[in-house]
Amino acid sequence: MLKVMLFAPIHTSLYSRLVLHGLLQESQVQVVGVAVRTPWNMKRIRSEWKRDGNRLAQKFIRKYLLREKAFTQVRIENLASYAASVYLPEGTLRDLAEKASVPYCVCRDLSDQTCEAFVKQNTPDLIAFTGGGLIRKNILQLPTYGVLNCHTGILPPYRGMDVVEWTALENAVQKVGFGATLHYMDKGVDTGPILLVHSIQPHAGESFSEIRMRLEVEMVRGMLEGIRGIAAGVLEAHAQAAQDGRQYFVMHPRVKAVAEQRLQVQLKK
Amino acid sequence: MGVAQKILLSLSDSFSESYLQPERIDRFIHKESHILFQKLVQNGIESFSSKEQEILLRLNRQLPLLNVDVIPVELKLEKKEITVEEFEAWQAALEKGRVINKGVLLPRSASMLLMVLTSTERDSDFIEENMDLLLRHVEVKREQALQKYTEPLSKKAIWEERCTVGVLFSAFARQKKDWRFLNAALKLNEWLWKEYHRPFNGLPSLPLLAALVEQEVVFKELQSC
Repeated sequence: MLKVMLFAPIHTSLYSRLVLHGLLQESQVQVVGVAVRTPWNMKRIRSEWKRDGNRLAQKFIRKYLLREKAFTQVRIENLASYAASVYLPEGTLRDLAEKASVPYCVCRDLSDQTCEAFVKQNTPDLIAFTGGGLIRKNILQLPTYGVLNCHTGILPPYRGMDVVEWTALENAVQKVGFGATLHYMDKGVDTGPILLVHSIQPHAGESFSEIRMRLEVEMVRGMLEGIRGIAAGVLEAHAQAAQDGRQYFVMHPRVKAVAEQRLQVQLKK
Repeated sequence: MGVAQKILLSLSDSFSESYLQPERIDRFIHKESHILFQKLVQNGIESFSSKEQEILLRLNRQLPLLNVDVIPVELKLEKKEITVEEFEAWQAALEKGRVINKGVLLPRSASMLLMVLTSTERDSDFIEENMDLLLRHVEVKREQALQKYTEPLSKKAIWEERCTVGVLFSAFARQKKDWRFLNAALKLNEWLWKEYHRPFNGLPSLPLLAALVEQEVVFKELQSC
């Protein structure tokens, strides 16, 4: 039995809830804890506001207030339609954890002392990271297998932020494509050993937000498939070479406008 | 869909990303270059410092690409901004060959790298390693980036250093066809724009003008690639 702990950015995260829901149904997995970052941390709000600006307000409304309802008028596959297909119960991560008698911890930061003590107390073999900031060495070194992250892009070439947009900007849609990559976390940004890649085929006329919605579903599938594979001992990780990829950062809106034009040109091909 | 849900969805959509519009940059470039060239015609190039002369020369080459009129005379430098001896002394002072260590920058690094970038005998590994360090520093530290130096600098000198990094990022983006550096230049120059437009800042406009002109020229160029 593989002992897994879930790390989440916020108690309402649909992605985190879907991963937890999936893990609770795995016969070879025992969920030994759920650690969640509190959103009510001024330091976190300040740093995310500086990084994301208005995107933070959008995130708050969609992920915290609306949750599944944010997808009401979306016609393509998305986290809400996937949640309906797997009968995800309503409520928060806390509700899911309490119902399954899984220890639950709220912390200011996923690398702080509270979280570290929670991990040490519940001794997971593996941590499934579903967002919530940087994970430091004190946590990375605790689980036997390590900490898993599913990145919204193809690794190793596209590490970091906004990589869906960067892939389009660099005219790499045909060559590299879009996908979600499951990998172990290490001290670098998306540089840890790769377990699996779930690629998607983009359609003509699709926007970045539509591609991202489909990738979010692949992230849930990839995370669950990876944990299942590790539990069954059939999945092997492959190290990345530093020079095989580059780190990308938040894209400026003017650059994003160019990326959008280039995406449509590439999708027509 | 409920009323509250509709309101929240439209509220969320209304939070579009705000940024410095190219039209405002264009107006600034036209206005400031006009003032600058008037001063140049009236007082001659010798009234500018060697650093300013280098910037003027660069602007004179680039402004026509943005459809801005320049003075119809050939500019000649009175004195080079950086001498070989100065460059060698700067390079010798680098710790482990890095322009930035633990967030602290060696003064004149951007000017030096800019010079190395355009030189024919450049050391690619040296430039690339240091450009990556600068990129990461600016992207992580954001508005707080490029504020600490190995020696105390005046507010004006720090301003000039930061603006020169803006020029450097764009110039490197053009040379490597690497949008990541132009992306960082767009962000950095926007923070500098805000700083410049604060009341009573007392900062000169020339360094910002240079950074914005370089950015706009390279943006046009990369967009057409």
